[in-house]
Formats: sequence, C-alpha cells, structure tokens
Amino acid sequence: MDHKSHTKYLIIGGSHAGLTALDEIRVYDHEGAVTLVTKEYPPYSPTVLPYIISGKINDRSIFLRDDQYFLEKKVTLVKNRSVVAVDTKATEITLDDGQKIQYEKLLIASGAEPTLPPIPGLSPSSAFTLRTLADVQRILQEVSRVQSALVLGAGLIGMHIAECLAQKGIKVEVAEMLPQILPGYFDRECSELIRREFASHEINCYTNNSATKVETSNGKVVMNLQKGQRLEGGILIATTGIRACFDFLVNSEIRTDRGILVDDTMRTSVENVWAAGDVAQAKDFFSDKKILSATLPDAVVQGKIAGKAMVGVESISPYPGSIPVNTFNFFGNRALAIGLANPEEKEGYEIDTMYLPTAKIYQKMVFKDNCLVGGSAINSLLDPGIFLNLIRRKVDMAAVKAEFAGNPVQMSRRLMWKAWRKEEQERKRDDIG
Amino acid sequence: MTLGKAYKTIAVYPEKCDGCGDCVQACLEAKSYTKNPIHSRIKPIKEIHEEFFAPVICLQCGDPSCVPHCPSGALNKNPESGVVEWNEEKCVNCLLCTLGCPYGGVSYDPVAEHVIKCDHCAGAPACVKVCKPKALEYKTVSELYKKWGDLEDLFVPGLSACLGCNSELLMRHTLRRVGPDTVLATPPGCIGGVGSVGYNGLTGTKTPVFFPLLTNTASMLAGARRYYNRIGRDVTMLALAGDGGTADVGFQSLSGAAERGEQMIYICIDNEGYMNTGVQRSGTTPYGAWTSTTPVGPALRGKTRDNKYMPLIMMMHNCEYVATASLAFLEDYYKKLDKAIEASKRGMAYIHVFSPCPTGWRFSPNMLIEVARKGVETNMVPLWEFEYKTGELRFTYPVDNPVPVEKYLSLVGKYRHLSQEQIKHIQEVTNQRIEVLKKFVKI
Repeated sequence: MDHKSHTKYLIIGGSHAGLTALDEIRVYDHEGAVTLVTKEYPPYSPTVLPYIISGKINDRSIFLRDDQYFLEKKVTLVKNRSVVAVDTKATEITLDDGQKIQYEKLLIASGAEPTLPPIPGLSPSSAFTLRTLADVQRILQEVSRVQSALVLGAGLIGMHIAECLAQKGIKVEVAEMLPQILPGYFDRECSELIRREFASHEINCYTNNSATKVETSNGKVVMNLQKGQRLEGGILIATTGIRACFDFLVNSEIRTDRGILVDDTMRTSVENVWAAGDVAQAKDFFSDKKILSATLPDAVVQGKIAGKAMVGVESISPYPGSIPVNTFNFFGNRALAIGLANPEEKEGYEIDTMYLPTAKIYQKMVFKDNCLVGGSAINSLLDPGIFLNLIRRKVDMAAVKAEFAGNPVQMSRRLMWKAWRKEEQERKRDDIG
Repeated sequence: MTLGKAYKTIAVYPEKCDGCGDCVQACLEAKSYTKNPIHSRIKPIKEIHEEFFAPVICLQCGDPSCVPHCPSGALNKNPESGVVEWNEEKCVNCLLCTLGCPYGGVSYDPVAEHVIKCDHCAGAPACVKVCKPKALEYKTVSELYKKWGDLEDLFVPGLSACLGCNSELLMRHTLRRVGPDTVLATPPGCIGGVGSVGYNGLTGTKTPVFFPLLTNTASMLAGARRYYNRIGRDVTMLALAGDGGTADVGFQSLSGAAERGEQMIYICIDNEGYMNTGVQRSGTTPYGAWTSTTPVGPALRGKTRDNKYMPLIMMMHNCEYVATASLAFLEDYYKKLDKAIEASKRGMAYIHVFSPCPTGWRFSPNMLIEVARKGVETNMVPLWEFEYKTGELRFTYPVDNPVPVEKYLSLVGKYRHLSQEQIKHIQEVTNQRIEVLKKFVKI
C-alpha cells in the first residue's frame, strides 16, 4: 500500500514519557498535527499492573487517558500498531501493517520489555513475565488454580508480586542471584529489614543463589538453585530485568548502546529525533556516564523536556541527570530509597543512620561535600519529593547538617522554603507582595 | 488542562506566620473529625532551631508534577476549580505522587493508610478563615492585576506616542503606583514630547509636572524636595528621563544629586539613543547598533563602542536603592517601585528601565513585549536590585540558561546587518557583565 500520511509531531509509545511529552507539546503548540502510535489502547502504566493482581484496582480503571482527551488535544491515534523501521533521511517510520508516516519531529518513547536470563529450561513457556495487561490476565488465570508459586528475581516487581500472591493464600518462594533482596534499589540495611518482614509472612527469599535449571511437569514448575535447593511451585514468575525496545532502529543512523543515546534535551544523535523514558539512555546525575534508568519519575521529567525541545522552546532547563528513586510498599509498611543510598566507596561520604526497631522506623542520610546525595527510609514521614529536590538542586547544608540529620522532616521543609518555594511562589505571581 | 484561566489559590506569607497552629485545628475539623495532626493537609514547620513556621500545603500548581507521576490516573487538575483532585477509588497507594511533588503538597497519612492533600474545602478553605496573622490568603492571580487597575491613572487619556511605545506603559504604571502626591520632572525627550507637558496651558498629568533642561533634572528636583522638607510636606520627587538626559547630557547633575543623597526617585527610560530627535547614538546605545549617527555602510557597521552600564555606575554612587527593570516583567517592576518609594524617603532611588523603541529600533509595534522579554531571557538585560542598607545585589529574575543573544538581536532591525564576529562580541560582553554582577551578590 502506498498510503503515506504526514504529521508535525510523531510520538511512538503511549505511556508516561510519550503522554507527558504530548501534554507539553500542546502547552506551546495548539494546532500542529500530533500523531501517537501505540501498541495498546487505552494507554496504561506498567507500574500499576501488580496492583491488579493484588486486587487493589480492577483492570478497567487503570487507564491514563480516554477518547475524549485525544479528541480535545487534536491527536491522531494509531492504535494497536507497532513500528518496524525508522528512516531518518526520509523522515518517516514504517508500521507493522506497511503504513508509512512522515514526521517533522519524532519522539521515540517505546519503553522496555522483560528479558529472561540464559538458564536451561527458562523460557516464556515455563515462566510468566509481567509487563502488559495480557501478562496480568494470564497470571490471574493461573493464580486461581495454584497453591504455590516461585518468583525468580527479587527486584521491586518480583517482591511486590510475591506479596500479592502470599496475600491470596499462596505459598511463595523467591530466588535471587545477588547477595540481597531489592539489589540496586535499596541499601543492605534497608533490604535486610524488608526481608525480615517478608520472612514473618512466611515468604522465603534465597539470596546469593542463582537458578541453574527450570523444569516443568504435570502443571508444576521445578527450579534448581546453585546451592542445591530444589524449589517447586504451581507457577513461576520471572522478574529478572528489562531491556529497552528499539529493534526497529537496526538500520537507522540513530546511535544506540543499551538504550537510545540522548543529550541533555533528550535529542538523539540525529536531528529532529528525540527519545525519552525507559528506552532512553541519558545522563546520570552522579557521574558522566549515560545510563538506562527506567523509573517512572525519570520518564516524566524526560518526556517533559523532550516535548519542549520538539516544539523548539528556547531556554529549556537541561536534563539534570537521572537520580534513582524508588518507593516500595510491603505489608502495610513503606520504604523509600533516593540517590546514592549505598555509595560504593565510603571515602568522602558522611552517613547518618537511625533505627527504631519497635516502631519499625529506619532512616539513612548520605552526604557528600555538605550536600545531600542520597538516603533511604522505612516508615518515615519524610516528603520524598522534597528530599529528591534537595539532592537535585545540590542545596548547601553546611550550616544545618547536624540539625537536618536529627530532624529531617521539618528541616527539609524549611530548606524547601528557603531554596525554591518562596521564589517560585513569587514567580507564579500568587504573591501580592 | 485549561490554560489562561485564573484559579483561586492559597497564598502563604511566611513572614506573617507565627506558628499558632490554628490552621491545623481547622483542617482537622473539616477533614478528619479527630485531633491527630497527622491527618492535617496543612503542616506548619515546627521544632526547628530557627524561628520559622510557614506551612507546607498543596499549591494546586498550574502544571502539577504529581499528576503525570500517577500510574493509575488517580490525580487530575479540575479545569473548573483548578484544584488537583485525588480519586480514592483509582489510587493504588504507590506513593509516586509524593516523589513528584517538590513542595510536600501531597503526603502519606500512615493512620488513614493513603495519601492526603488539600482540596480547598470546595472553595472555602477552613484554614484561611482562622488564620489571624493573615499568613494565609485565598485569592486569584487576577486580583493582583485588579489591584493595579484600581489605582488612579494620572496621565491624560490621549497621548501622541508612536504605535507600540514602551514609554506610555511605563508612564501610566509608574504614576499610578507613585501616586498623586508627586512632583514629576520630564526633561526634553519622548516623555515630554508625547504629552506630559500638556496642551494649551494645561499639564498632561494630574500631578504637578515641569520641564527642566536636559542638564539639570536631578538638581531641580533636589531643590524642590528640600523646599518641601522645609515646609514639612512629604512629596515624592519623580524624574522620568531618557538615557540622554540621564547618562550623557544630564549626568553631572544626577551624579551630584546621587552623591549628596538627595531624596527622589529617578527613573531612566533607556531606549538606547536620542529617539525623539531622530535616532542618534547615545552613551547607552549598544555595540553594533544602527543609529542615524552610527550608520551602516561599506566601512562602518553600526556603533563601534560598547555601551556604558549606567545602573552599576549609579550603584557606585551609594544610592539607597538601584534596580533594573523591563516591562515584560511588570510585577517585578511594581515590586521595585514599592522599594524605590520607600528608599526615596532616605535618599536617591534609581531605576533603569530597558525600553525597546519600535520606531527607532526598527521592529513591528506588536513585538514590543517580546523584544523586552527576550532582552531579559538572553541576559542582555539582567534584572537585579541593590539596597544600600544591606549592601546586597540580588537578581530578581535569575536566568540560569540564557538564550543565545542572536535570538534577541534577530528580532530588532537595528541589528540586522551584524556579522558573526559582531554577534560574538555582544555575547562576550553580555557574559562578562553577568560575571561582574555576580561578584556583587552576597553569598
């Protein structure tokens, strides 16, 4: 078919990065044609999926936008289609049905998908992954018939599913290759406290113990571990990581590594093409490296910058760099980890910890050069957004560090007023002065 | 999201807050039926060393950051009320919104086991009603403009200014704020020419106005003020003078008056040249600019010298108050006028207003505000103020990521001929000036 449509702004991907960019484009350009290509419709966030399994929300009320929204924003929707090629010379993309769309500005926010490590017997037929609504439905179908379950990979999603399943009365066991649960998300102390809570709900976590073999027989899955254990369950859910989705760039000039490489305005190596969200490999806040961050807050920040850059807004605040942020709720407790909660070298860092075992409260602050660089907390009343901004804005704490460590909730609010709230209130003209 | 609609908001004035906690009690009564302050949507800062109490509360942002952070669509800005609404049914308790808000406006309530945030009590916030020191006010942005609109316009209705003239805007707003108890001096230049001096024996303003020579504006105002001081009347002396009457021809009398600490507000309307007499260069005409005396031809390419930076020169006179302004930032200008009025009771207040001129600079009248704004966004016109009593220079609109100067220069016809080298020079001068100014900021 030789049908070719033309659009000013083309967005691939309809989750947080793509939708935030769309909103931002429409702040500045009310008329320019916008086309959104999305694999699934209505749009939803992968983050919400475990909550469907736990029953906290039903699968019909998770959608982020409806028809009315796209109508009002004058967006041409290309639903249930994926991209197979991007030709940056001809400035056009090709869809899986052969249709071509020509663009002036392109945003790739195609997200990520689960990966399975090379373990004998581990495959999509022996293990479930969780990234789409279809995955949720498949898991829910199985869950109704099983009494036990195995989870491979003790990351945020893995641990979350473990809790969801346990609360349905299913016996759950978790295996993790690295020495702690939630590796890369939480520091060792925090993760140990979380592990104890899971153990008290009879969820066993085998850490430092990778899977060597997976077998299925008679509706049972058997997983052998390196240290010799043999775990058996009715279902195996693998949450062993994700990879950025950009296969369709294979013949394009856009530079990629583990993700699509972008600069401070989310632009790729090619003019008029941007990338944001889980697919983008962008600046790290703490080093010069470019990293995949794959958190929702980063997708939002990146989508917003990309949207502005696509319209050609001048004086964009450049991307400050990705700061790891995680919230994790478990059995009525809340955990939070932001920034360098667990710096690899101890040199130059000042660490302040507080632990109240009976109240199950834990708090850790990491400072460097009189600035906050990270921290973690369990059941703390800290305002996570203020904490994150104290790090991002490198607020000088030389004079107040001791008081901050002793009273972080109140002091971070005070610093917020001093460092940005007052000024922004004035800029927003709320103030008659 | 509806843009352009003025919503009500709870404005917080931290300097008025005494930490009494009445707002918390009111919020609890309205929202939780308990006495446990953990449920309050408004949270005054407490128990810190410094005496500071101002509360943390949702700002109902115009472009709320919490909303896109929500993975289940449980937060939305109501286009009618402007309130960021939380939908309990859709919330999954992931707390990502608390990470998205830099103000602590949405927080977790560990007893209720969900997030809580202010909803303006359906248009009648309980906390505002009980705030005795008036640290909380419930108001709209448009009330700000209404307040200015209610001030009396002291200029004649019809002015003979060119189309798109910055000075008309400036004259009307300045006199509105400074008020009727004022003696206005307007030396030769556009301000007198367009109507302040008046017609047929009547003045063009509702205040006394006089027309000094180009050389003696400041000394005449100094004399008038001293007379009023002697008879015991508090009358504001106000000069609205061009850059020629300020920085060149009128400089010696201004310098003397500033050094003596004469009590007046001296406002320089810097349109970067003698526009009233046919666009000749002045000491403040920037490098590279075309004027009728710095023409563009095969040899000359506009002005060959950099402009003198008058506001810093005035700062060095130990004036009570010195500020720069641009009318693209009108609220900033009003705040500076307030400070200038107060400072003029003690000595000289000097405000240098960057005033693009469509006629003399060769740009379309409808671009006036855009040109004024780009001047600031490129850092060619940094907005700052200096107070003698604190010795501190403060940027009032810091531009951390300035737009390249080219974006400003390309809007203005008098820079049309510039070569890349000339643009580079202007960029360097601009960067240098910011560095110099930063050295006066107290850290």
